[in-house]
Amino acid sequence: MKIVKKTLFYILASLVALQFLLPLIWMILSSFKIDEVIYKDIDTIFAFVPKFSDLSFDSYVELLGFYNIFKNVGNSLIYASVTVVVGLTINSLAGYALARFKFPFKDWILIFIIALMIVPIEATILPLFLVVNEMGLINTIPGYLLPFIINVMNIFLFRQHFLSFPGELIESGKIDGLSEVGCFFRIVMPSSLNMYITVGILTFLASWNDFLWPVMALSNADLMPIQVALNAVFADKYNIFTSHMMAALTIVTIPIVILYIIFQKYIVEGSMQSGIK
Amino acid sequence: MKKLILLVSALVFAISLVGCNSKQASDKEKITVWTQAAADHPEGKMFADRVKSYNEAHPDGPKVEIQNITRAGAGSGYIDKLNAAITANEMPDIFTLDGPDIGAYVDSGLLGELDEYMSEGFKDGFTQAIIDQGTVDGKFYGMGYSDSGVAIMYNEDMINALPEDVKALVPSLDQDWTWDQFIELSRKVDEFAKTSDDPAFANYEVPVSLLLTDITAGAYELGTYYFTPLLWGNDANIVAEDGVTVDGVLNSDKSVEALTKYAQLFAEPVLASATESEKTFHTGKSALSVSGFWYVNELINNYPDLKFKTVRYPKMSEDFDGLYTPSGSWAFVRNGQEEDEERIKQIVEVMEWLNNDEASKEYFAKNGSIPTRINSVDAIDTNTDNPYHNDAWTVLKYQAENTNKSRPVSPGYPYLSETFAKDVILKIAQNKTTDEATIKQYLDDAVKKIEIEFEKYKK
Repeated sequence: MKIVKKTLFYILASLVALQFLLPLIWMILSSFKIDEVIYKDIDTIFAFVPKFSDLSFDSYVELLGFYNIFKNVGNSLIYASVTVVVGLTINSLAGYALARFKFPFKDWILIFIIALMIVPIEATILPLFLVVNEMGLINTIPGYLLPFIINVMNIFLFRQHFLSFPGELIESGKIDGLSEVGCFFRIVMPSSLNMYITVGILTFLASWNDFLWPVMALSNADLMPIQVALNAVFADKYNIFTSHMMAALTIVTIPIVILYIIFQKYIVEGSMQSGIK
Repeated sequence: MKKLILLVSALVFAISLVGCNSKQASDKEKITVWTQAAADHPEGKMFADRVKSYNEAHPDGPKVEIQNITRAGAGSGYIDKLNAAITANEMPDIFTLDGPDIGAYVDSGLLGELDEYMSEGFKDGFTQAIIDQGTVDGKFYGMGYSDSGVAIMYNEDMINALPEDVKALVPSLDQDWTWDQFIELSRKVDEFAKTSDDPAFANYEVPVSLLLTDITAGAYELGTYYFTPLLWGNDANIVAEDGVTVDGVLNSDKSVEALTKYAQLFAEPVLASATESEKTFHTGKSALSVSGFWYVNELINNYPDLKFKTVRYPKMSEDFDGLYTPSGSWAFVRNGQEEDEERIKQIVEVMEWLNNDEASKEYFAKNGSIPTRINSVDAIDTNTDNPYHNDAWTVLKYQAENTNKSRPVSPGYPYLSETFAKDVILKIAQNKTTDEATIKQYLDDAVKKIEIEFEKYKK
C-alpha cells in the first residue's frame, strides 16, 4: 500500500513538475528551429521531441546579428549585482534597527514602511522621474540605480527575521568587545546567510526583470539592461521572428536558472524562515 | 553631525543646480528628437543615419540629437517616458507619435502646428491619407514617416486545387472585388475542403484567417484598423468629423448594414473563427487571410514553403469610389510649447529633412516602411526575383497611392478603438451573431459607453 502511495505521489509530482517545465523546454527547443517548423510542430509531439534535422543555431546567429544581447545581459548583471550588494547592506541595517533598537516614532516609521509596500511602482514612477530629473541624474547609472537600492519590502522582511534573532548571541559579542556595528557585521550577518540569499535573489530578479524604470531613467542605448533589449525584439513589427524571441528568452533565462540551481537550498530555507510564499 | 548633514545637503543642491544650468544653456544650441524605435533596430538606425546626415549637411545650424527609446507593445515605455518628460517640462523638440494618438495630444495643447513653417508645397508631397492622419481641425500637426496597408492573401496551392468555376471567383491583383464576392469565395473553399482529400488541404481548419485572437489578447487597435474600412466603404464611420460624436454615426443604419455583411463570416457553416490557431494562414490551415503588410516579409523570410498570392482589400460595394483601405502609422510631431519663431522654423526644417522624398525612400530601403511621399512610392520595387513579393507590393503600392484612408481623428481615439474592436467586432465573432437587430444592439451599447467617456472632450 505504501509503495502504491509513494508511486502515485511521484507520478503526481512529476506531472506538476512537467507542467512547469514544458513551456521552458518548448522555448529552448523552439529557439533552435525556424518559425515555419515551430508552428507546424506546435500541436504535435515534435514540439517537444524535435527531428534532429530541424534544429540549427540560425536564430541565434540572426538575432545576435541584429542585437548585441550579450552587452545588455552584461549591463543587467552589473546593475542587479550592485543593487543586491548595496541594497542588502542598507536594507538589512534598516531592518535591524527597526527590530532591535528603541527610538522615537519607531512604530510610525514601521507603519509608514508597511503602507508603502502596497503602492505599485507604476503609481510612483512619474514623481520618481521628476525627482531624479531635478537632481540632474537622468541618463546616469546612479540615477537609474539609486531609487531601487532602498526597498521597503526587504526592510520589512529583514525586520521580521531579526525580531527572532537570539539576543544572547549579540550580548556575547558585546562581552567579547565588539561594538554594535561589529556585532551586526560579524555575528548577525553571517548567522542570517539564508535570509540574505533569499532577499538577494528576490532583489536580483526584480532588477533583472525591470523594464519601465530603465526606459525612463536611461537614454543611452549602450547602458540599457536586457529587458529593454528584449522588448526591442518583441516590438519589432517588420521582422517578426518567433525563433528570435525564443532565442533571446533562452539567453535571458540562463543566468536566472543558474542562480536558482546554485542557491535553491538557501531559497527554500530562507523562504521558510521569513514566511515568504 | 548637523554640520555633516548641512554639507551633504548643500552638495546635493549644488550638483542639481549645476545639472539644471548646464542643460538650459545647451538646450538652445541643439534640437532633440525622440523616436519609439529601439536603437539597435534597423528603424532606430535609419533615424540615427538621417540625423547624422542632417548634421553633416548643416554644420553651422543647431546640432540635432536623437534618442531612440524602446517601446513595448503598442507604445508603453516610450509613451510613459514621453508623458513623464511632458510633466517635467522636458519635452523633446521633435518626437514620434502613432497617427491615431495625434488628436489627443493636440487636444491637450502639446503639439505645434506646422502649416505656416513648412516649405512651400512640402505638405502636398504627402499622400492624402497621411495628410488626413496628421490634420486636426484643419491644421496640420503630424508628418507621417511611414504608411501601412492591409490586403487579402490566399494560399496558392489551395486555390489551385479548386474547381475552375470556383477559381474564377478569385480576382487578379489589379481588380477590385467586394465583401460579397470574398464571402462567396470563402464559402466555396469551405465546401470543397470538406469533401476533398487534396494534400493542399491536409492541415485545413477554416477558410479565412482574421487574426481576431489579437483583439482577445488586447491588441484592440488591430481590430479597428482591419475592419473600420467595412464602414468607410458603406459611407459610414465610427465617429463623426468632430471626433467626439458617435451617436447616429457608429450605430447608423449604414454601419449596421456593413457589419451585418461582416457577420456573414460567422454564419453556419462558419467561415472564420474568433479563436483561430496561431499562425493559421502561415501554416496552411486557412486558404485566405486578411493580412497586414508585415506579412510579406514574415512569410517570405520565415515560411519559404508557403506559396501565397495577394489581392486587394475588398470593397463594400462595386460602385463605391472613395478612400477605404486601412492605413496610417507613426509620425513626427513638434513640441507645441516652443514659442521662439526662429527656433520653430529650425525645428520644422529638421522635420522636413526627416520626412522628405529622399528620407521616405531611405526608410523603405532600410526597413520596408511604406513611403508616405507621393514621389517616393515608386521606390517600392515590384520587379524582384520573388513573384510573391512583387504581387503583394503591387497591391499595397496601389492602395497606398489610390485608396488608403486615414483612421478618424479623435481626442478619445484609444477608447473609441478599444470599444469598437472589443464590443462590436470581436463580440459578433464570438457570439456568431448574424442578425441586424442584435448587431444594432451591440452598436447602441458601444455608443452609450463611448458617449460617457467622450463627455470630457465636448467643449
